[in-house]
Amino acid sequence: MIDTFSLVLSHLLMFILAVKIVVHPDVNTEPDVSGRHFKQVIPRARNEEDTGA
Amino acid sequence: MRDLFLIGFLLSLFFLGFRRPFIFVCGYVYIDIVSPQRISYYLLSSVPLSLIFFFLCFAGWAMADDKTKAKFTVRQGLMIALLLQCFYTTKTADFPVEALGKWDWVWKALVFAIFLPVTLYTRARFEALLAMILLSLSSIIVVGAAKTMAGGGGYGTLNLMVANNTGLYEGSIISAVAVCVIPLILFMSRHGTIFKPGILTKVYCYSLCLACALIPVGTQARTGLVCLAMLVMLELRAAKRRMLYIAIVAAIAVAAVPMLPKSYTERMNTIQGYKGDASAGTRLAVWKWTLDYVSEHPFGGGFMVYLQNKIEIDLTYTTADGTLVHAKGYDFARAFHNSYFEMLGEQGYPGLILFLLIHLTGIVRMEIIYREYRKDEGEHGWVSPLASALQHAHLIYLMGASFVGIAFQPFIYEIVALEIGFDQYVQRNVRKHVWTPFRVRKHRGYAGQLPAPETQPVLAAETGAAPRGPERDRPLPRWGKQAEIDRRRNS
Repeated sequence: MIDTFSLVLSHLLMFILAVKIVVHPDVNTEPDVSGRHFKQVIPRARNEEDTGA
Repeated sequence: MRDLFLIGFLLSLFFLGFRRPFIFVCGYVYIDIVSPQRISYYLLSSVPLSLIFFFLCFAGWAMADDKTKAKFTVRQGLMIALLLQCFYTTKTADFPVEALGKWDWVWKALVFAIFLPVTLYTRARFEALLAMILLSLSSIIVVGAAKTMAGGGGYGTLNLMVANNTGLYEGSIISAVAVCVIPLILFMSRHGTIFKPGILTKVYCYSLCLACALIPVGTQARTGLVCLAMLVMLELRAAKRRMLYIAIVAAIAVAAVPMLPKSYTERMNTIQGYKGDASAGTRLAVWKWTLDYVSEHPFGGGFMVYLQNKIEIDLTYTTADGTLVHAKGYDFARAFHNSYFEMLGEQGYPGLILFLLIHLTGIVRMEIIYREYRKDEGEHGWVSPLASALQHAHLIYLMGASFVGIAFQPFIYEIVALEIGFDQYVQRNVRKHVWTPFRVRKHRGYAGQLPAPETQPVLAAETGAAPRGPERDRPLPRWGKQAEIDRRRNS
């Protein structure tokens, strides 16, 4: 009983860990922590420029 | 049923590994620690799981990982040298058949430890590996702790799911390992990013620490008590509020001692003296035999060399009425019960020197990182605690290694690999110069300081200076770089 409970608990946590590794965004690349964040500039729509809105 | 459960878990790791190949590395570590082949009844015992997962680890790294961050370190070189030394002594072993049996798993542990650091190039990776090591160990430790609490402990009688008392399932070894991972569990409870340090994580981690501390009680291994004492001393150094820490430790000790089983306190009392204790006397006799042996065979006798020892044990003791009783015992083929003498006897002086260099270098490197980042908070606030936790785990293991032959235990080589990966990560990503004697200084002339060659004529025309050609490759002086550049530009 103790053996089974311990095995199930640890393997459940290891399975959760494996799933977390799969969905973790920074496993293969280290995130940029330089503190410089750039605002993305999207080109304005052409009709918006034409109308001057 | 247990077999099917374990097969299901391994298959899930196998399939998830194709999505993230790093899971193969975690899978190999799991197999190394838990040995599902041993706790299963018959289905898995005939499958070479380690070999399959090692091949998958390497293939996954070769196909999917970033190889530009793979750098060869001195400690990996030392491990290669140790591997070669082991190969040499196995070829010339006194007991070739028995030596091959040990070589069969030692080379895998060393090769994996040499390979492992190249896969650990992000924080998420070495945290994931650390979590996998701790969770794999928890599958053994929780069983032992629960049985201890239920009253099922005892020296050599604590059942840890397997009948054969070897590897991490051996009482003294699991005692040392369980205590040495406590600093790592505490680190994960405070600074983990994969399992965020919420209430559930903290409850689980503290419970696991308690379970780890119960393992020496359950196994009644004296090694565990010595390791616990070492842990208390080392954590005192790392504690921010030391008086509070001392008070808590004293309170726990006072509260716990009356609850300890009588057999445990009786066994621990035998630590005080070695005279009259057959176990201690045997160890001293084996160590003396080892020193005699290596004086004639300085390159060691290969694995399992202890099988040839024939020892005379001094069991002299004093009775309660003061009578001195001289007694002698005889024994043969006794194991070393000490990793340093194990290395000395099996691998000779070169092996012992390499062993000490591999471990002491790791401890020194962690100390340097710990001191450098001790006052950092915020973004890099986790660096110093991890260095400290790894160092403490390593030191406790080395203390435990004085009482059991665990010089080639794969677990510690995984910790060494983790230290190498973490050290490289700090050098590469944290970007604060930590002293390293082997760092290659990148002096590439003006390449880093001056504009690209195609823009130089324009610059020369603007400033009136002559364009420089071969001078660009001249090494820069170490001091006053900008002043030197300006001086040369104006000359």
